[in-house]
Amino acid sequence: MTRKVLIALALTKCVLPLPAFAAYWVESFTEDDRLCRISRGAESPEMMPLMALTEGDIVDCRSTKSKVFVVTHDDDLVEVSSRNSPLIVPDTPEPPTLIDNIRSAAADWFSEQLDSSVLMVSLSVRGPSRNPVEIIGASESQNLVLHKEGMLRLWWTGGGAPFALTLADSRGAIVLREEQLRSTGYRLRLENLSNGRYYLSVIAAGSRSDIPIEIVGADRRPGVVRSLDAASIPATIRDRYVARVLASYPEWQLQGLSMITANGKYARSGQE
Amino acid sequence: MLVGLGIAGAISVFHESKLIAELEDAAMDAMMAVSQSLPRMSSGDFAATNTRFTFLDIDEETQREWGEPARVPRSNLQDLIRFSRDGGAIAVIVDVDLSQPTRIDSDDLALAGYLEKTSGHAGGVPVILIRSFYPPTRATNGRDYVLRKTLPDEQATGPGIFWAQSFFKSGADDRVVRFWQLVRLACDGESPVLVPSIQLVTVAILAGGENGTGDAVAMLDDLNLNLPSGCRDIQRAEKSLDQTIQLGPHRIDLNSGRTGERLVYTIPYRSGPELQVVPAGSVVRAAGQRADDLVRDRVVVIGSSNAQARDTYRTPIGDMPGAVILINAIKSLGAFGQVRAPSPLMKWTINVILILFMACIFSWLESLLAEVLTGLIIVIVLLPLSFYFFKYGIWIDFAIPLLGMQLHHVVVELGDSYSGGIKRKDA
Repeated sequence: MTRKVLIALALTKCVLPLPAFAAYWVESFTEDDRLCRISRGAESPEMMPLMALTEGDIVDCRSTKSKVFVVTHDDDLVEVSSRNSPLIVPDTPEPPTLIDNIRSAAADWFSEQLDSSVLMVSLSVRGPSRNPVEIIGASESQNLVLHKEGMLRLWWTGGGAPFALTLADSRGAIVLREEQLRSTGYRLRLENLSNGRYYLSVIAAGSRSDIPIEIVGADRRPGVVRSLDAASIPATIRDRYVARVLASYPEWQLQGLSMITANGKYARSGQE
Repeated sequence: MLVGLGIAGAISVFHESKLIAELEDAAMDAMMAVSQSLPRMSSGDFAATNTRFTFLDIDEETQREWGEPARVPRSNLQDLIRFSRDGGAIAVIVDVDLSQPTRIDSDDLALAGYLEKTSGHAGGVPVILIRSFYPPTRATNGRDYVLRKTLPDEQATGPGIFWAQSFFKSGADDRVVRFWQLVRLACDGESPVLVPSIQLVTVAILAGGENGTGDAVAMLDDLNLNLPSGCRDIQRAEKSLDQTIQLGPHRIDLNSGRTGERLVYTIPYRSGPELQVVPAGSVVRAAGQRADDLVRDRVVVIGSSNAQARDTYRTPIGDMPGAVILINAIKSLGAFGQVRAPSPLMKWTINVILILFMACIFSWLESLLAEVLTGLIIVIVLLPLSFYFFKYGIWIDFAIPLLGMQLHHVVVELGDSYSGGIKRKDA
């Protein structure tokens, strides 16, 4: 067993020599490289871009105009000129120990638990997105839409333009098809659609989202919404509350969000 | 004791359930977080264990320098491949989608010509290119295994070029990339083909030493022997893949289940002893006279970390570009093979001993003290054991006994309160 270990060790160290860890390397240098040089012991190897520097190498420049750009083991870029010459490449840093890793993992865990900070995300798409298309506010099982509202505003995230949108009726026959959509939203006109069950699909290059929608009459409104509609309150206030109430029911969320217009106001009957 | 064994048995039966799978994932994630970059995870006598990597990174600055193109400029890509091959890399992996563009320009043709011309013999530096798949749409009849056409055409490239796929699986809830897919069956036109993963091809090349490409070609030929007769049978055939292959010291089972598909991350996304990150812009800018120190005797991966590429993912050891995930996958397969659980005998022996211990402790000591003590046993005995064997790809799950212990404790407490209630009633 000991012999096996020794042979393995010898193979690892001699037959399969590990390339030196290029802790530092030369990224680039000014054209007049005669005024800068690298010393490696007694030798002075020719300076080249992408050249690995090892521990003890000395980078020295004799003019302020001549510069060598060196990348450190932290991936930082250091500019070496006569002002800060010489740069002596330090020892290769030791890899972390188990204790270092435990400490770092614990610190990450605690900071995750304690820090409630949020990340900034941009929802605009430049290239194709790897995230799947997702219709905002839609439920996978049931989405009720009020026919009397006249229009359903849809928004989606993920995927990459161009998008295609299809609406199929309950028998699978396509009743609406839009190709080459560049925006991540669509206004679905309900006037020519009869009440009933439909299947809406938004298709991108890498993914698609399919949801059922059911266009229903005003009699299916939740009781609270009926009361609000019947109340004698200003239309703007009523619309805001109706949108909020609808958005609180999973099956009405799509309809509720549809009433929130792009400028943040609330609108019904397809008007902004 | 009986309750404990019953719980252990139930956990074993429902091992694939969401709760237990999530616990196991979290435990293994924690093990990777504390094991990353440790020298003990990179020592061994198999060549693939000691491999060093260079990531030629099309980073944010490179992207700006190249004029923020929508796709990687083919002339620059050709230069990066040429630099790596001429510089003496062990293998060059191009983590860039080369599916045929709608508009082919002269740079596309020049890259295709270069790859076709230099791939004629198996003795040179192997280049591994990505084959990508169409998403399921009406055009593919809803199938997710139809291959895109590539440029250069796969048929036109010689034995020095390997085509592979880069499919990985992430957790549905947390989107953390944890599992690989070693092979995929696909439909090329109307013919079924087997597309190996990048890590499988690379480790086959590394395992073969000087005859690396020859061995990798032989392995792929063997795998291709059991293809289904038509594209219709692909999904059924993929589920029933039961081949095993030998990669160096590792026996790889293509139908290994969840644990065997687990990828062990050890290399974080920063330069270190095993990984050198070099901005691709620096390489292209220095064209003409440049040193090969950063690529010689290394596996070179060309990929992107810039935001526009949208190729950055969550992993148990932090966010990293797809190219660094590929590097970890190669290291994982080469160094540890497939992660496997200990033999059922060993697993049950550990379980019975632990349950016995816990049962004794719970019966002798007070509730809180017993819980602390059993927790300590796990920390002092099971964690170090798991840590020791993790290097050899053996996963001793310490999360499941922990869950068993908690469940056991709940059952005992419930039993106590129930009997206490009856006694009070009787009184």
